[in-house]
Parts: sequence; C-alpha cells; structure tokens
Amino acid sequence: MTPQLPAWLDPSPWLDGREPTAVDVERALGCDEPGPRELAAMLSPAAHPFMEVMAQRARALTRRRFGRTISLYAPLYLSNHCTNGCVYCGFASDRAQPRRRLEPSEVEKELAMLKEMGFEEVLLLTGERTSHAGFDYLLECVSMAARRFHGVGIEAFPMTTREYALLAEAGCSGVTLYQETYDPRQYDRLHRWGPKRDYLDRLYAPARAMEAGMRTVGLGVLLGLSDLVFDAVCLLRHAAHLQRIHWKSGITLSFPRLRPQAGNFAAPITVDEAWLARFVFAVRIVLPDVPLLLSTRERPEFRDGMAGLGISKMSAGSRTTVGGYDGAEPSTGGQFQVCDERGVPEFCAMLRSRGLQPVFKNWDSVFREAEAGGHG
Amino acid sequence: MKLTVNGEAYEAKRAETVTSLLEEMGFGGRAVVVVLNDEVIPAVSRDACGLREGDCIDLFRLVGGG
Amino acid sequence: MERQGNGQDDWIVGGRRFSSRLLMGTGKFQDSETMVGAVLASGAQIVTVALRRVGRVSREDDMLGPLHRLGGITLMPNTSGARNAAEAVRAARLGRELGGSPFVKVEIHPNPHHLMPDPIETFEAARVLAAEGFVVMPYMPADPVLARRLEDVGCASLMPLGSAIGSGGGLATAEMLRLIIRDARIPVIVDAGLRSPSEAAAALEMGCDAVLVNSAVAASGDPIAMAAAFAQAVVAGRNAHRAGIMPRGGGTALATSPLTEFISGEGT
Ligand code: SF4
Repeated sequence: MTPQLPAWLDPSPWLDGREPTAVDVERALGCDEPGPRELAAMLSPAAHPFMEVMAQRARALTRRRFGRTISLYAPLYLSNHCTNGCVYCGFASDRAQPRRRLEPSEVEKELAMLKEMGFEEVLLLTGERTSHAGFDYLLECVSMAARRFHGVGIEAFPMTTREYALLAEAGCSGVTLYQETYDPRQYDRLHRWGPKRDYLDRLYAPARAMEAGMRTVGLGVLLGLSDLVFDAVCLLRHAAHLQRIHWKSGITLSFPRLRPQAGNFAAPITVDEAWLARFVFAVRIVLPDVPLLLSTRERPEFRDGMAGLGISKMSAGSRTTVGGYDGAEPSTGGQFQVCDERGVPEFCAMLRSRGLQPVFKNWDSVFREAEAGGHG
Repeated sequence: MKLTVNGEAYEAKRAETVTSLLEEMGFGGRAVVVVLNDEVIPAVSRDACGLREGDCIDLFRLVGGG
Repeated sequence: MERQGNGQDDWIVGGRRFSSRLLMGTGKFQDSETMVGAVLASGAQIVTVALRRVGRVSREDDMLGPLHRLGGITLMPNTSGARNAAEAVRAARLGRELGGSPFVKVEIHPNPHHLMPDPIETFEAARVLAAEGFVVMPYMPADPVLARRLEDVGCASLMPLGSAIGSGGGLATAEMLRLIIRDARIPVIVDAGLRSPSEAAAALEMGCDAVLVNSAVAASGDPIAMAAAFAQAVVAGRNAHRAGIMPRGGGTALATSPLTEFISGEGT
C-alpha cells in the first residue's frame, strides 16, 4: 500500500504541470524569498542557460555564510550486513558480497587512522539493523568514536526517539538518513524487501532524531531514482518543515548521484553533472544558510569546481569498503565507487590553491557535557 | 471605618460592603474592577463582600492605550 | 506562506476569525470622539486598551464607554506600566475581569526612556498567562529566537517591534522580521515604530499577518482620515503579498568570469 504524503511534504501545489519558462527562471532569481516554486523553476530545462548566473549567486551566498572555508569529514563503514533489498545498492541482501563488520579493535584502528589523517569529524555507516550490527553495536562504536573525534555522525537505519537519545548521550552529534526518493510509489518498487520498505517510518525518523537532541540531521535523495523536480521540492519542504519545528537542530543536505555499483542496476533517470551542479546552485539560493555536502562519488575536477560554489562541506580520502582505511586489502566491495581517490593532503592543497581553507573542526566537544542537559 | 483606597487613606462613612463603598465613592454603575487586599473581587461577589477596618482596596478601569 | 487563510483571506488568532489586518491602539487621542471615529475608520476588529487605577478625585473622560457600545470589536487589554512579569500577570488578570476577553497584549518595558520590551520578563509573563488560558500576544523585540521561545510556551501571536516605540523608524528590524515570519506558525503582527501607511503596507507585503498602530494615527494631522489611510494600506500590502511581488532587476546580468567551465553534461 502506498502511503499518502503528509500535507507538510506534498509538493503538488508547486508542481502544476506547467513547464517553467525563461521568464519564470528570471523571476525565481529575482525573488526575495525563493521557495518551492522558485526551486522548481531553477531546476527546469529553461534554467540551463542561467547556469553561470546561478553559479555566481551560489558562490556569493556560500561565501557570505561560510566564508572561504570547506569543512571536511570522513565516512567510516562499520558493517555491510544488510537485510534490505534496495535495488540500487551494492550491499542489498541478494548481492553476492562478502559480509563483515568491524570488530571493536578494528574500529579503534580505523578511527586511529582517520585521526592520523587529520579528521575531527567522522560519519559511521552501517546497513539495516541486524544481529551482526544492531543498535548496541552502533552505540558502542559511537562511544569509541566520541572519545577521539569532535564530531560523530551516523548513517544507519531509522531508530526510535529513545535510541537516538542514547546515541546523543554517547556523543553522537549528527544523523544522516536519506529518504532516497520521496515518491512513495517509486519507493515501493525500489525497496523490494526488508524494514526499509516502511516509507513513513523512514520519513519521520529525522524528526525523531531532532527531538532526541541531535545537533544536525542530514537529508538527501539519491539522484536518479525518480522524478528529479518532485524529489527536489519534497526535499526542500522536508528540510523547511524540520527547521520550523525543531528549531534548535541544524539541517545539512547531500547530493548523492546514483553511480554504477554491484548488481548492475541501471538508474531510471540519468543525472548529468550539469544538472547536479544546477541542483546544488538552486538549493544554495533557496537555502542560503544550510551546509551542503559533496562526497567522493564525484570526479576530482567536478569536486574542485564545486567547492565553495554552493558546497560547503566535503569528504576526502574516503573508503566505502568495510575496513578500508586499514592498509590491508579490502575484504568487501564498496557501497559506491569512489571517483575522487586523492588523499587528504592533496585535496587540502587543492582547496588552498583555490583560496579555500580546509576546516577539520567546527565546534568543540568540550561543550558536549553541558549540552546534554540543555539541548532538546 | 478607615480604609486605604488606591494607595490613599479613606474614611468610609456608611459603607460596609464593596458595593456600598463603590456607590459611596460615586463609582456605582461604572466598569471598574475591585482588588481587595490583593485579591480580585468578581462583580457578582461584591454585594456579599464585607469590608473591615484597615482593608486595602484598589480600583481599576480600562483607559485608552496602545 | 499560507496561514489559516480561506477564500476571504481571514486570519485567526485566539480561536477568533478576523478580516481586518489592522489593529488599533486607543491611547494618545485628543478626545474619545476622535478615538472612536478613528477606530471606526480603521475597520479594526481588535483594539488595545490599558488598565489604570481609578483616579479618586479627578474624573477623566470615559474614553472607552463608546467603544463598548460599538460591538464587533475585541478589546485587548495591555499590561503597560508593568515593569516585570509578576506585575504584568497581575495586570492581565485584572484586564480580563474588566474587558471580558481572554486577549492580552503582554507589554513590559522597564526603561522609561527607550521603552524597549524586556525579553526575559516578557517571556516569563507569557509563559504563566498562556498556561492560565489567556490569548497571549506579546509585544517583543524582533528576535527570532525569542519568537520561537514565545511560540513554544503557547503564545497566540507574536508582536515584534518594527522599530522603537514612538520612533517612527518604520521597519528598521526588517531582516529579523523576515526570519520570524519564515519560521512562525502563529500570526506575526508588527507593533510599534510604524509612522506612515506605506510602512504598514511594506510589513504586509513582507508577509506579516497584521500590524498594530496607535501614535501614527493619534498624532497625525487628521486621525480619522489617517486611520482610513492605514486601512487602505494594509489591504494593499496584503493583496500585494498574495499576488506575488515582481522580482528585483539585475538578478540575471551576464557573468564575466565563467565559474562553470569544469562541468560536463547537458543539464538533464
Ligand atoms: S541502501 Fe542501505 S539499507 Fe539499502 S541495501 Fe544498501 S545498505 Fe542496505
């Protein structure tokens, strides 16, 4: 059964079926407070000629809010056990793929390596909740990471408010959870089995995380799964809704583009770089104060160009395999293919050459204690 | 009976209840709210509300304001 | 943003539906006749009143008697004169007794010179009064965080100042007002600082739900005519907001140094 979109999410009032024209795009660019309608206009084919204008605007807004800096973080894959059947993912349970999780001693080792590389913020990733890597395992990993890192985020499975609160207490400051696609029918088709089939449970999880006192919640859609403008407008509305209700937490947005990976799933919709870039510009224009993230899925030249052009936070030197930072041969495939394989020093040198300062630490965990009581 | 009304000493001549005090002072029929010893006396209770020596009474009304 | 609108573009606060987006203060008029005339001309459905101890000797004019008789007007007592939360709470309770309405404009400005509202005492009074079931409309600094905190304790609307009381500074706080409007889930009413109808129109264009004026009318050359002018301005501003204002020019000027050469693809 496909769920009804809640009113706060439903994008239909802004998607009236009329194809935006150049006039609509100009109007959107001149708008004092651009919203869903302006976003849709800037994502339409009519906006392609405005690419340069949008890029200039995006850079000016990014600079105004984030200065000449790029925050850096590193993903750490803890486990690739998964019971879900997401057709687009190399870790789906029907994929022939060696499965493993990092044991605590290995987690310590990987964390130490990341710390060595200079990182102060780490994103811990797992698949669906399983007996191999469930909540308690994740909690333990968060505690370990919080002892070394100033920022600890997780990208795992939807949880209860109580679970999020326990993670926050253990030092977790961020939860990333992409809806993948907001189109409930497409969602239903792509998520063939497993707990992730529950669209609404996933949809409401970011709100639960915020209620539990998480500092930031990361949202995103997997670009290429479904109608791009529909998903983009829903993403904006989701972000705006959360910002309004849970005003003490922050939002971040990511722009994962579907890339080939195990299983040979062909994306229903092709998203090229030009559209991706325009999407980032448009989101920056609509949400001037939200951190926008770009991962190593994209090729180096594209990442270099996008740094500061809407994008304010990036991963670098990433491994998307379980146990990937430990020099030894990776034992699993990656969740997605890393396109930018440059090391951290090289990446930082690039940023500096473009007049951008790499920032590893944006806040200090010294406040964590005091915050536990007051946040929420 | 010696009372304090709106912060000033007032010698009540005959008044023994809030209602009779209001009448005696010329506020009968006007929209005022009565506070007796820091307690609001609802209009319906004024008749029954007796006064005692030394009571503090404050009378308020609405005026123009922004 | 759409807030509680319907076909007639009414707005709702404290469970009551209003069509006029102009609220009037009733102070500072030369006589009650002018005040009543101005209220009528303004079309205001909510008017603020103050609470004072009755003068024992001097018998001032009864400014409000005629208003009571007009009907269809919600009287909203304010707590002006209160210097802290406890005094404001007390004033609100008295006001409810007198005005017969649960509406209260919480207004606490301890400094007699600049008259800026005290955010901490205002918050505390709002919290207590909202819990007692008052329809609390706090007069407040244009601070988005305070706005949020006031909303969270159950205020029925927010009344941020456009600029200092009586300054006629217009919408000096526009940037903060935009943030408040963006995130508020209750009506936002700009109170204080407006001098002329164009500023009231600008507030509604920006997305405020209503404005409250007093001095701008009472101290104008012809208060009754000015009240009517404000009424028209508020309608114009609101209609402009609903219609969608033309974008600024120059937004799409050709860029000189290309930033996007590194991008490949056609733009899907
Ligand atoms: S996307 Fe996540 S939940 Fe889905 S199969 Fe991959 S790891 Fe499992």
